[in-house]
Amino acid sequence: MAYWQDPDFDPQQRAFYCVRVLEIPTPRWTTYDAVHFGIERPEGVPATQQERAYTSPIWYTPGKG
Amino acid sequence: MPYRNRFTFLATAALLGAAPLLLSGQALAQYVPLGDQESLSEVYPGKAYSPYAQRSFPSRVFWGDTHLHTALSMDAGLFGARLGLDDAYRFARGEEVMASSGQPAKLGRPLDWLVIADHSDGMGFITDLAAGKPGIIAFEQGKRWYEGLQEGGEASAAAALDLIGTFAQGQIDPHMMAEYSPGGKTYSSIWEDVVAAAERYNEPDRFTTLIGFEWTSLVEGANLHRNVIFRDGADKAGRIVPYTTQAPIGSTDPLDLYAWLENYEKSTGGTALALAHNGNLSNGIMFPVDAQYTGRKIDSEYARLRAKWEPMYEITQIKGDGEAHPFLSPDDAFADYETWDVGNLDLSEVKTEDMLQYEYAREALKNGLLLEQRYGTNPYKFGLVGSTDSHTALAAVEEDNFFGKATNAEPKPGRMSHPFAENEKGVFRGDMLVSSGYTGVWAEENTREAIYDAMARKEIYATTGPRMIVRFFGGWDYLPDDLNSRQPAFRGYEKGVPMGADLTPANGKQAPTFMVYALRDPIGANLDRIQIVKGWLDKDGKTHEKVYDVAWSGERKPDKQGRLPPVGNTVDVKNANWTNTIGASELATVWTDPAFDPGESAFYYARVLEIPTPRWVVYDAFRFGVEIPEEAETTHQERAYTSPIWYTPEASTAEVQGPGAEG
Repeated sequence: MAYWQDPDFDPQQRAFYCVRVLEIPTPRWTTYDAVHFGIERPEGVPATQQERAYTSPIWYTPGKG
Repeated sequence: MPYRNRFTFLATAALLGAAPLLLSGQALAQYVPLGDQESLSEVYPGKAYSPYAQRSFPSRVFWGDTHLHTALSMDAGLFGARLGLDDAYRFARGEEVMASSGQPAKLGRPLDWLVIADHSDGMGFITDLAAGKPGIIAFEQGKRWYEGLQEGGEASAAAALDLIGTFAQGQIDPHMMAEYSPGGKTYSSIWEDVVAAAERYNEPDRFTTLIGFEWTSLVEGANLHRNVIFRDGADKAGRIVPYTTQAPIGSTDPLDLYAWLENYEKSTGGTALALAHNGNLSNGIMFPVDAQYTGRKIDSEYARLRAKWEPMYEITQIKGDGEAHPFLSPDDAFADYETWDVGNLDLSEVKTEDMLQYEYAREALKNGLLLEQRYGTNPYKFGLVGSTDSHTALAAVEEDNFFGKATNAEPKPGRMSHPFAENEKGVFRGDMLVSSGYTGVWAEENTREAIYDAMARKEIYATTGPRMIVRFFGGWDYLPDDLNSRQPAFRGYEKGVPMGADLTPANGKQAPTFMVYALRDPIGANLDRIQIVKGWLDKDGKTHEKVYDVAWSGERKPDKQGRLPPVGNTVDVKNANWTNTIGASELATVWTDPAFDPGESAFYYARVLEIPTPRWVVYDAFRFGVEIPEEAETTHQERAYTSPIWYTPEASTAEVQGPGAEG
């Protein structure tokens, strides 16, 4: 939970704001495959990832209040 | 497809072989299929990649209330309830309704299922009285009360009080009540409405209704109430009318209710169960050990019938929390939760300490082990549910959305200062009403059959209102690693049994292990701790209990006496809120009983505590700008109680019927 106010807001500039929410690192699907099938993960494939949510933006347009 | 080919081949071979097999008098089942190991191994590919495919255990929790009254209940109507069956279902499934007090009401989140359980005695009388039905105002009492109610205000309240008093003294004109009792045409038609409404609102996979009623046995003010819940629809439950308590048709003895249930199942082919509530208001007669209130000795028959018909107990509701009492559990720091121990239901008799042992669920679970040893069946082997017992047709027990016990306690500035009951013996203060509870049901789908079957096998748990997810499994081989999959149910069902079940035999294992997992209500408060409550029966026939802290938030360390420090308290009473800056969003552990004796019967259940949050009175004070009475509790730790898992020594039933069995 947080409350945030745009510290650089300029009422003359168009802007949008969206929220990105990051989970803690969890196994990527390739890691599940490797464990389930007993195979090696190809080199360069990350074992973990941080899954996330992207909200739709809220827009600000000057003069529209 | 090789699989199809082989199947066809086998089927053909079977058909060809059928005639001679039948002629020789052998069953087809004894046919030995052709095939070799190599070809058959392709038919059974083993574990699927998808962890969720090919599984058949309950994977969802469905939330509901086993105990809701509408205006059809005499007392509900008298206290001003006007909402009926349709309103109750609509509200429970998430729609907005206008409460009887004239204010809009809506649940924060819909429920998944509902049991409307109106009092069977006089069901529908009060609604017909308020409507001035000719069959009622033809009688002097009916006319007088109707006119009083019509006048409104003080005259209306006086009429209601006169009716309550007249009813309590058994002075209601029996001819007027005959139509509202089994045998009366009106009564049949009211029950038809109840059944029809349940059928109308039952939508498989969206919202389940279970047909039910309350059998309101009150013995000199002591609460022996039971709710009856049917697995069936109108085709079976519509063929009877509810059982009542008024003689000569009805009875207040649970044994007569069991006989009625037996007869229901036999005559309709249906299925039903019963569950008791408010042992805390029974003044020592809810869970008898030596004799029933009638004087009849407890025996193997009583134990067998109670176990058969009462697989659940309502452990928490608006009129008090019934898990444990501080007098019985002095070492349990959390036993004194929403305790109602002033007297019986109508405060006609004061409570004494010797009564408590026959009133609270934990003590009953313990005494059940003792009775099992005496009589071969544990009469108190019940799963745990939480319910509202609301008399407003509104199953509204969210702490910030509490619509009270009855319509006269729906939200308004003075309600917390208006006593629920008061006389020279004592008082149940208005602020003591408990905004509790709901039941979580572990089921595969939201259908009447799946919900009922989960109740019957006790795979259910009670909460005081929040919707935390709780898994609880018992077995002999759980390891901490079993939680690593983050899918406790897979290992849970694979290696043991879920809440409500019996541990498998020890087979030489040292001690049982329990896997418990709790996820906080997604829009609720963090969790303080998980506890496992153990009760057992020692070799001298004495019962014991111990509460173990098994998982908790933060870096707290138990003190020398093993007591875990409190989690803290972020409640802002003035502003009616709290923060999730303490506690944990999930807790889990695998716990091994450190003091297990394979020769002693035992039960284990999990209690999950939230961090402190405001009680409903705090929201009332904040919104109405009123003072909270000094004696009122403002914060509390809401909780979940899982159904227990039982352990029975293998040889124990052999000792049962011996001469040592006493009455």
